[in-house]
Amino acid sequence: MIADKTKYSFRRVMAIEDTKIDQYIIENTMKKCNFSENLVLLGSANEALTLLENINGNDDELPELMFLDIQMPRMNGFEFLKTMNEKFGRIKDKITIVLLTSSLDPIDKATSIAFPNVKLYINKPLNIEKLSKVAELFC
Amino acid sequence: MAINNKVLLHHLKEHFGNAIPIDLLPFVEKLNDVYNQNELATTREPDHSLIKVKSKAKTGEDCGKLKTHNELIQKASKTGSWEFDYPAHNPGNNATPDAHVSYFSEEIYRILGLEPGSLDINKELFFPQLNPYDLSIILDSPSNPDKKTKQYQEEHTLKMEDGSEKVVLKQSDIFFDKNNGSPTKIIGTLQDITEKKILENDLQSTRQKKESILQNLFNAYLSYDVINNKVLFSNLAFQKVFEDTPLQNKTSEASFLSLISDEDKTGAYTLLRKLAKGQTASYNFRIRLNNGGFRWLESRLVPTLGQDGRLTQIELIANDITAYKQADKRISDVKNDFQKQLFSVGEVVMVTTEKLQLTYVSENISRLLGYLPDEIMGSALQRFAHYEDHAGLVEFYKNLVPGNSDENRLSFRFIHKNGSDVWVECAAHNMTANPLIGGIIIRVRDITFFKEYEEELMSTVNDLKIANTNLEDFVSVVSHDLRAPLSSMQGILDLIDLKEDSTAFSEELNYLRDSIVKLDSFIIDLLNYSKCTKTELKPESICLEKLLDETTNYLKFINAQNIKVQFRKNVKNGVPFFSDPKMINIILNNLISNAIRYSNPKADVPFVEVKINANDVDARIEVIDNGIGISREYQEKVFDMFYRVTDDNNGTGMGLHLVKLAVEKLSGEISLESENNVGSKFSITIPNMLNNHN
Repeated sequence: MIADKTKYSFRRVMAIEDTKIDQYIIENTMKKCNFSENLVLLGSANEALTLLENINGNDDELPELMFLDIQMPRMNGFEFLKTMNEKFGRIKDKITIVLLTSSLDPIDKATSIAFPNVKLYINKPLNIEKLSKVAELFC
Repeated sequence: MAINNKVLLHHLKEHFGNAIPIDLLPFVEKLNDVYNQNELATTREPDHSLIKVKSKAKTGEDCGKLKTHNELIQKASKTGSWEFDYPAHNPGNNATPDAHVSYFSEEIYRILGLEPGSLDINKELFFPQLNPYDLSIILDSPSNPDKKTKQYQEEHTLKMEDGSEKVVLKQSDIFFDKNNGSPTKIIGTLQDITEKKILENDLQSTRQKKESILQNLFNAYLSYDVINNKVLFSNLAFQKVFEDTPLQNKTSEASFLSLISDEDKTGAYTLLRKLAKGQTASYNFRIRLNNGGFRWLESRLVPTLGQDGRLTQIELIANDITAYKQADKRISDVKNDFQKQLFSVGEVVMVTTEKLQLTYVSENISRLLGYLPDEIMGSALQRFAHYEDHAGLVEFYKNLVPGNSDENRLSFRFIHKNGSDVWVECAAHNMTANPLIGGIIIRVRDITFFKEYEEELMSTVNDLKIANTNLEDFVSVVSHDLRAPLSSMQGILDLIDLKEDSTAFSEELNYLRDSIVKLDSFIIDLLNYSKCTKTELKPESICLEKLLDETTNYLKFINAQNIKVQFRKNVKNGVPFFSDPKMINIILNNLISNAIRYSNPKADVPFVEVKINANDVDARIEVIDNGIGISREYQEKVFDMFYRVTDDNNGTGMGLHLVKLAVEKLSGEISLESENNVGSKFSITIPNMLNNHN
């Protein structure tokens, strides 16, 4: 299922993923299916917070979709969500969050329900079928 | 004037005993002389009167004196004398002899209530006074010629004119003619013994009354002559006390000490010494029974001392107190038993004031704390408690309300005399209002063993909790850190697949992908295994349909054989259902993925159908497919760990074992119906844990 090269599903997508190999998979899978016009890949939650701070007030630069890993060093996915919702209350509802994780722990899944802006929970690895599902849901 | 000297003398002696008034002594001596002579004389010939004999020897002056003395004696002794002369027998005349009274002394008149000399004495007056026997002698004398002197003595009652009665003693001698045997005269005395009789009767009746009282006395009574060692009197109760003893019916011959059992004789010697000093005494002693037992007597003893100060007599009044003693012993036995019970149950009983001061401590305190009761009596309770528990103990005492029947309990530590901690549990009652106890009663139980056990148990539980948390952390780590690289590898393979020139490697890449999938599913199985066996069940309200949907959504990505398997669901779960979703997930996931994995390629429409029917009590889950089925011979083994029926490399041999473990964990049941090339049906029942849910 190869998407039309000229037409992207999303204009701007952000992915927060600490593992290089998973960054590579995200980037290339998305490229294959023209998932996003712009992809911002960030290696940690802190980088993401800094970025959000910098683009504050310029809503055009906000991603429509954010892929978020849970297990990350220093600040994990949930800690990031908590901080973001507290710090950027105005913009939190403008970003659709998709959790992308290799965790099968039901607790993680249950915790994610506590964050209303988390709309989807995807198990790794990411592939074309899963991205198609995301596009189907949020495009 | 005639008088019977012998009778008079006898009379005087009887009246005065040996204490004849000194002024009468010469007279009595004379009488004795005369009497002796007269005794001799009587045998020869009738001697008619003292006077006659005397008159031969004495002057008229002497006679006058004698008469005066005689009258005095008669008056003093209230004894009159009389003489009856019998006329000479006239044979042939059968008429009543014409007897006549020849003499009545003045005292006779007085006794008869008459003025001296106021009446002529005749036989009508006299005969009724005679003994009927004498009268017959007198009347029949002619036919009884051999009669000798006849003496008699009798008492009778005189009715006086004023209605009063007198008791008189009459004594007389009949004299007979030595030659023809006919009676010649009767000489006698008449004594007024009314007063003596009254005294005698009084004495007699007093004695009878006294004996009757003593005899019927409920208490045993004994009067004992110590000088002659004999029983003077013992009553019925006293005899009864000696029933069933060796002394039965022999108490009258027993010596005083032999009445007392050997066991109590020592005390009896002390007792006798006390009695010898004239002191009354009390003594409780035993008497030995025939059967070897004892009878207990409680006695009071009163001594009588003679004029020389010696103990002459003992009066003993005793009660049988055996029953009382036995009851007393029983009470004491019960008390001892009770104490033993207390000791055996290990409960120490204490009584304290409201200020915690100990007023009573049971003996077994020594076993609990190593102290003797005396060592801690009077001290404050908290002195023996662990210092950390002082405040708690004082607080506990504040809550003890008098009269509250509820038991207040407290666990705290005592310090044993050897310094070690002793954990106790106490139950306290405020009984200050109860006069028998008048304090706070505390029952103390040693729970050191339980405390130690509890502490050990708690530490084990803590260790287990830590171990469990570690395990859950481990599960979490495994679920991410082991699976993350695998999923990355899968992701890379997926990317290679997307490249146009990847077909050259497609076969090798598929082997690689299969291995990754197998490794991943094995990791998932191991995680599930730890969930089924090691982790705690966490029931919560679940929606079975939602769980089913999540499972099937996930399974959509697994379709190894590229066979399209139709999924059908039939769910009825309108009630709140409580269970552990992880377990349900394991069950559904494995059964449905098995149905897909082992679907039958030859079937027209391969399908898997899940039926769920839940109610308040349980949920029935059926997973039905038209797959390749399981032969009957393997059906029992499919639930075993690592048991695999097919050669399919993708299976881990864990799936159905995990299902079984999960079902068991939920206290449910599972059964299998299957037929080769027709299909399988797994039926599961799991309880609704509504009531177990907190």
